[in-house]
Amino acid sequence: MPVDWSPLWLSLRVAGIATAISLAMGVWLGWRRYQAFVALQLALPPTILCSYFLFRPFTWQIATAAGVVYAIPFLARSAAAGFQAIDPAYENAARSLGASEWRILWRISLPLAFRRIAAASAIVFARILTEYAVTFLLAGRPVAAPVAGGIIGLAIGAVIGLAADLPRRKPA
Amino acid sequence: MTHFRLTRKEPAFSLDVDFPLPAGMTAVYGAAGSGKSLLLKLAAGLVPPHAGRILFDDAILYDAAARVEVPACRRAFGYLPPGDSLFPHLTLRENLRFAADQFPRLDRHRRVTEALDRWQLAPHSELYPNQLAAGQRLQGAIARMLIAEPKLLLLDHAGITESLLLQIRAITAAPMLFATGDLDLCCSNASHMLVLDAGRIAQSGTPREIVGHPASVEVARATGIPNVYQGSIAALDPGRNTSLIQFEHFAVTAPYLPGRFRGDQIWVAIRPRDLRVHGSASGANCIGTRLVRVSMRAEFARLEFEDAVFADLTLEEYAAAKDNKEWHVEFPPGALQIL
Repeated sequence: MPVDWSPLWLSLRVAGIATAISLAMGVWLGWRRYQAFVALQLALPPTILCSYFLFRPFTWQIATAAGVVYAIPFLARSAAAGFQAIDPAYENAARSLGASEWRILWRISLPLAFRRIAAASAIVFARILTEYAVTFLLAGRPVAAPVAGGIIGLAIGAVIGLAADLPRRKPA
Repeated sequence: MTHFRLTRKEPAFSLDVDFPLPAGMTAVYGAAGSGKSLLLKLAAGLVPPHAGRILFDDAILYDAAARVEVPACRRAFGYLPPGDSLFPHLTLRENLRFAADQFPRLDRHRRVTEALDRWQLAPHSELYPNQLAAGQRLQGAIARMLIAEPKLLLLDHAGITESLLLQIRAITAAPMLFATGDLDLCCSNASHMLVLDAGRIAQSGTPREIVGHPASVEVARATGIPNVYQGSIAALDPGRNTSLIQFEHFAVTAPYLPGRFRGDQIWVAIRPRDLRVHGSASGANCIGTRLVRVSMRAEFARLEFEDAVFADLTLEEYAAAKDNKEWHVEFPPGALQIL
């Protein structure tokens, strides 16, 4: 039986691009601690989220945008939690050594919060990959990824999620 | 000229200090919770003050009234935090390189290697901080702080010792402000000392002056004098150059107190090692009392008597006196310090 793989590629493309964009925006929001916006976004039901994107025709770019809006709060929350878990002594030491805030983000905060952010990205990737409800509501049955693709996506997402969230090798 | 005036009010604590900073080493001495760490953080620019002014080498780094605030990364102050501060995801060498980033590339490499050699950390340069011993982590953090060539050092680490301070002094001549709760370290290394009590500067001066002449009850207690008593002047005799001070449970004769009146309430301190302990009543200023407990120290024995009187005896004196049937404590008039 010939297998049509195109929905899987479509899902992977949408999920990959949406995760990348929402990762950048989520890290920025988490860094700046814009929590009110994030909390509002998190409280939105998917149906309302869908109403933002009632465009015809429903292209994969619009699906990506929907994925980004859907994923940002999760990433922003995790990034903020990751940044807050860092001992402020490290950032203070970096400041007194003459490092700018931007350099502290890249060299100190992001590497130290990497595990939490990576785990959140993996979960978000899996969620977008297997998202059925939003696609179904927006585009109806024909465009929604078939359930088989979703299950494969779930498996991929689970593997990535586990890989990113391995137990610590040694205590700090 | 360097001058700090800093105020910060927190719900449970408020800090309000105003002091000039001389060249050389200045110790910030105080008990836990007296505001030493907060003072150093405010000076470093890591916590915003609510009011005040920082003048460093005649440049204004902070002025609340004029809304000037140079951020911590431009102050070029070296700050050593209280705990571990080496970045845990970088090796020791990468940690040092992070601090040397402002220098050109070749120069950077030379400086890092030199610092590693100087602190004898070269064999451990590829290890991560959690693989190093605590002493090596502290040395690494100091080496990293010094690589950036700070103009003022703010040290807030309990592991600072006399030899580390001497090593730092050999590398840089920058003025230094170090927080400590160790009076010996103040006397051995600091040229100037600030005694902090509940967020205020209780006394400042050279360590000798402060230890020799505490200005207030707080300073006397902070510098480890347990014998601090409140009393009133019962008699003054300028002719014989004497006075009588009545405390709650006993009275002592002291030298004449110029500028005081009969009935004045005063605080008196006396060092435990200046008290003399006798087995029988002998002479003036001798008070019969009861021994409560003896605390053995490495170099001496501290005897606690009734009414919170503490006396230090050398181990030989204690060995000779320990079978006394009764105890008499003598307050030598010359050793009484009027606060």
